Amino acid sequence: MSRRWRVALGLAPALALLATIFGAALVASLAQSLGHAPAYGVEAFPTLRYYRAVFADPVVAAAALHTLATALPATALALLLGTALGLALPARRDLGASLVQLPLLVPYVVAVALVTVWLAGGGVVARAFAAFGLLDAPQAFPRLLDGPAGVGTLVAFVWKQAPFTALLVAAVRSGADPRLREVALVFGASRWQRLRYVTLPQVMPAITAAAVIILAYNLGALEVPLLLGGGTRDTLAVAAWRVYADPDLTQRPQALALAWTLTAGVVAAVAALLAAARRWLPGVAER
Amino acid sequence: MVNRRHDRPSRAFALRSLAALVLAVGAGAHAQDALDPYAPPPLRADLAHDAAALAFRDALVRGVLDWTVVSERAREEGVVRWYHWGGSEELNTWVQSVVVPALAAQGVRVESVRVPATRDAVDVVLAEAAAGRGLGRGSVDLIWINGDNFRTLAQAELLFGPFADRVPNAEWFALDPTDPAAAINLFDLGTPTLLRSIPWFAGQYVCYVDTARLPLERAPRDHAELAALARERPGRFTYVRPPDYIGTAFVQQAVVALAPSEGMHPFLNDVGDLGAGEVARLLAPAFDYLRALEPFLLGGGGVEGERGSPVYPPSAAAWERLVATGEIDLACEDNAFHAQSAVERGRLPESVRTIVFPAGAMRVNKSFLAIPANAPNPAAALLLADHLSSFESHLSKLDLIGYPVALDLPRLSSEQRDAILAASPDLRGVTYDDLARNAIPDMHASWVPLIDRVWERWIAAASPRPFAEVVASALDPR
Repeated sequence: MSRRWRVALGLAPALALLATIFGAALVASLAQSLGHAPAYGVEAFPTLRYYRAVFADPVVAAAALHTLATALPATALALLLGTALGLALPARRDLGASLVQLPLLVPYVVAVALVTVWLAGGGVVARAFAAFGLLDAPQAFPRLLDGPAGVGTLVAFVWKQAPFTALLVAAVRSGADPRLREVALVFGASRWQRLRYVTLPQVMPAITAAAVIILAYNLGALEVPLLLGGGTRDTLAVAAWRVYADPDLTQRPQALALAWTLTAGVVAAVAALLAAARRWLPGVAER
Repeated sequence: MVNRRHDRPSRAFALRSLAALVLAVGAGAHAQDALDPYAPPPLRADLAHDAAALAFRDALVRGVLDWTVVSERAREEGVVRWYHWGGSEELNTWVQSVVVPALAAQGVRVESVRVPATRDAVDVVLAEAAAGRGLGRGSVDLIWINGDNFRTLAQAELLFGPFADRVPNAEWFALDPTDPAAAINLFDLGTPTLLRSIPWFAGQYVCYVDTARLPLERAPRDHAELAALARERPGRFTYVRPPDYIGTAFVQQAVVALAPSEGMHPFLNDVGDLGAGEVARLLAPAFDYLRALEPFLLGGGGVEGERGSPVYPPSAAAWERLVATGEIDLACEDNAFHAQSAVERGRLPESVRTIVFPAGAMRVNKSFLAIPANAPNPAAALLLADHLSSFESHLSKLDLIGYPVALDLPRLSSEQRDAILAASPDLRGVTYDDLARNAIPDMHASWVPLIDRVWERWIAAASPRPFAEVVASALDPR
């Protein structure tokens, strides 16, 4: 108990600062979404009309679908690749392991720039294909970035998040009890059986933690889909940003209602993910 | 007098009380002052203003301030935070290598804050004003601004005050309201600047084609030709998604060029004064045109009526890149010298030529430098605004990065005009005469957000509702 108090006390200054900065903004934006925005001449507090408008708007429904279609495949792919990478990494840190972690250091905007340089219609890959005679011209390269499938967003997400998953998985694996694996070996477990019944349960908490963080980010991300979207389909975060950017400031409560709806959706998705993990992955519940 | 001006809660109240004062005292001079539309509006009284900065502003507004006092105070302030669109590497480099040292020599450090859209700078000013931070207490000193962004600040009464005629370099601009040539300096997309901003950039919307892919004689001259070309070569054209400045301008030109017969005139009015039916009638041809064009845009379905997944690049730079990589044939910019500058810097191929498009509807406007009412360093902001308005600064901007001069040429000496002509990049395919013959002024600023909103609903969201309803709901978004 005393240790807990000491931790709480040590964190208090930082938490107080965070609570003031974020808390104030959160409360203010929530109040605005409920119609309290005297600075913009909106004084209807409390009203739910902005939230009703969110749920009545067919554009929002389409954006919600597009958000899921963007976030879920990227999350699944990042977890899959990241877990494989994390298990393949040597326990000892070497150059390869450090290189894998490089994407963690750069911001998402840089990932966007790299994806553009490589995968754009006239990008490095397209030019290389054309140079080697695989394409007639760089322009014949399929539209990956701003086509309907949103490949660019997917690649940017996975490029950043697979190494993140790998880092968590590798850390948990190196801390796991090696004797379990030895016991399995002694009893003649195959490679697949060792992975399925020993290694994966050991690293499952790391995968779940990564899944929560990645899913929450992917559902609410603004800059990547905004910069790589290009088409006319928006994710919810981009849709909210567009309303927020309207020169008519009385639209701000509408934008914030949309943003809060998105936040509620993200929280619900994360809660569902955690509940599912507890239900079906007993190893996670113990932590 | 000094302090009373700032204590008044609103402009309407100020006018009423001044009128009462006039009636009581019978001071004719004050009546002139109060009813003159060019009279300096007071600073918003609900903000906490820094007393010293306020006294400084007041002296400037009353015209009793010597410029040496301004430069002295600017040195004391020591820093100026200039918010400007940062989407051009050339401009950013010029600011760092030319403007920063020049102001440093006068004892002022320029912090150039690059924003992806001017709207972001306006947001900072609005947010800080909402928190009660007045003159001397905000964080934005100077903004490169025009159109609906300037209108937003003007409506919120968040502009520092008249200064354009009070800086030494005012001599290069026609600013006398009785002079017809001054209109372009005194009105910003229909919003009277009341001298609260000074011209800095002369916009001229031009389009360019890559003649290696599209021979010059096949370049479109008007929207009908563009539509025919797009149908003939599907997937080889697109435009920037509004509300990006360059994308909105493309749609604005289509609106004017395709409007039912009246030409430019109806667009000089505030949309609020026209009625939803009339606004829908004026916008319908252009928006029908843009919707019909969608299947033939980059990523479109390629056949009539099949929308596909049209790609609208998010910025002017992305639009230019699509031409550079050969994915599309035509793009536009708000700078007559753009094609030449981009070719010189290797961003566009040698084969690029500027064209006249759309004939008779090529937009010309000016953009300005404005000081917000809560500028933390008003004197340094004035010093920077004045420096950027100098002939030398405009010439260097033209010479080094191909940004057009916003000074009024008739006010320059013939040597100065020759220097500008010598420094001007090649127009790459058009003549000054072509540009002058096809120029139109910009719309009233109130059209800009409306066009953006209608585009978002009618084009991006492909609203199935009748166009008139979409316009009506965009006019009254609540």
